[in-house]
Amino acid sequence: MTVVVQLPFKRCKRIRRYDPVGHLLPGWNFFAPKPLRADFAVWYRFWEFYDNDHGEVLKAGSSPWLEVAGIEERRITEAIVNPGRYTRKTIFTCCNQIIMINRAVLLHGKNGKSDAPAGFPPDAIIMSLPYLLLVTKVSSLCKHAVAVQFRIDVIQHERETLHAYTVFRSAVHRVLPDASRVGGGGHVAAS
Amino acid sequence: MWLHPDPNDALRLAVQFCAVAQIVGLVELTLVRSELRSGGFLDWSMIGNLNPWTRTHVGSLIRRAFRRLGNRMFIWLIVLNAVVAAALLIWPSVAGLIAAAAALQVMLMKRHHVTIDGSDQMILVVLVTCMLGRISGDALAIRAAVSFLAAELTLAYLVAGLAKAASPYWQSGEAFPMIVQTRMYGQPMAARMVNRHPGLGHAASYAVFCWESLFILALTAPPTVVAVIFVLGVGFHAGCAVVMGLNRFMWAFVASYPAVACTNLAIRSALGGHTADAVTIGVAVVGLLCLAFLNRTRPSDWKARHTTLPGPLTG
Repeated sequence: MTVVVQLPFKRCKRIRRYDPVGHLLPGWNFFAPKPLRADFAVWYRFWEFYDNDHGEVLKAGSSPWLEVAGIEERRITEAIVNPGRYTRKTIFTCCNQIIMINRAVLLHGKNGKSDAPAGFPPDAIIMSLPYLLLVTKVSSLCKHAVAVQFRIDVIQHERETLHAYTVFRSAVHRVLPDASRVGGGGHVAAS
Repeated sequence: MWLHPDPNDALRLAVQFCAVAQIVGLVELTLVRSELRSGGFLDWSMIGNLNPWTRTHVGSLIRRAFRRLGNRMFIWLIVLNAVVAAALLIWPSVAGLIAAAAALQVMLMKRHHVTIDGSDQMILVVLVTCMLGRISGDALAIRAAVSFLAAELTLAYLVAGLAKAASPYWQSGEAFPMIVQTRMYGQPMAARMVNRHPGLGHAASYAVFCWESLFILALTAPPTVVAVIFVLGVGFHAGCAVVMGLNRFMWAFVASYPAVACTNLAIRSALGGHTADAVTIGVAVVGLLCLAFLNRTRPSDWKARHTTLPGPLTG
């Protein structure tokens, strides 16, 4: 079964349904056929005050974009103990999945199936686990904010130059006050 | 002992290496314990929001059981995992301890499903195999477990090597420079070296997939060649730990090296030295021809054909 599941055919992967814990038939093709070609960076900004009584915020009233810490330069000691791998892997996995869902939703839209295509509810991205995880993390970083927003940048490396561009921007989310905060909140009207 | 272990030693070392890998993982979790709290990346109230149904009935039961596991209970289980892993360093042949370590490994993988990697999967496979080998404790079961570990490790390297050998990124030598320049799996010093000496990146790319694809030779090669393959393997994993931060892969994968050595001994005893050497040479020649053939199949316009990275946001 372990050999069969390595083959690059969908039927072969179906054998995984017989794996009781889901991890005894892993795929061993690390960094192949496509290696890691770029980095992700998650940036966020926040608003400390509403601009009117309707709970709205203006773009101009936000903080500057700040990067979510976690993917800093690795230290040599992390060859032995690497606690940073949790944050790095989570950021990478979340960004990757959000982009994949976004791409699939956009593709369906371009094919003229923009009216709730099968398998994609209207809030497919915003209610996905990776999106919620990032918005909750960003909310927890902004203790006194009333609203937060995050974006995902792709950073390409060519020789020693970097090319960074934004591939996804979240909605602006209201953040509950500290005392009653459980996680990220609902929408605010973005201006 | 490393090149001529008996099956008992091979299983014992495999368990001890996995125990070290688990201890390293638990130390790392302790250092990032703030991420377990509300708002952290490992906050179960967030990452536990999964569909309760999985591919298998047993998997669904496991997932639903873990959803009920509160944070406090989870912390106690982590402490228990540390105790079990430490005990395995002293008593690596006790089936009950190995079973507990395997169950706790599953718990961690289910709980932190966003962050698991190949080392977690290999640790689980090794622990389950060793547990099955130790349950009855008879020589046949132990021999079967050792053979399975050797086969699994060889398969892992072979699949990794062939997947890379068939990839135009690795064939062109660009894969290694791409990876080391990233913040995720790269290292600035390595990236600078590779940029200043492009040949180094090409050589590293080729060396990696050639060594992985030809690791299978360790099953039949003479002891000297096996020793060289193992030293290269340890060096490869040490390099991955330093450059890419894949520190636990060293323990998870090298755990099965004694099993490979043990299986090599058994195969060479069964075939005879000369036949085993002939098989080794034959497999090496076929392997190198396959790698050369795969390299020649790279289309000249491969860069244009492959899916590009996501484009910039417009508007």
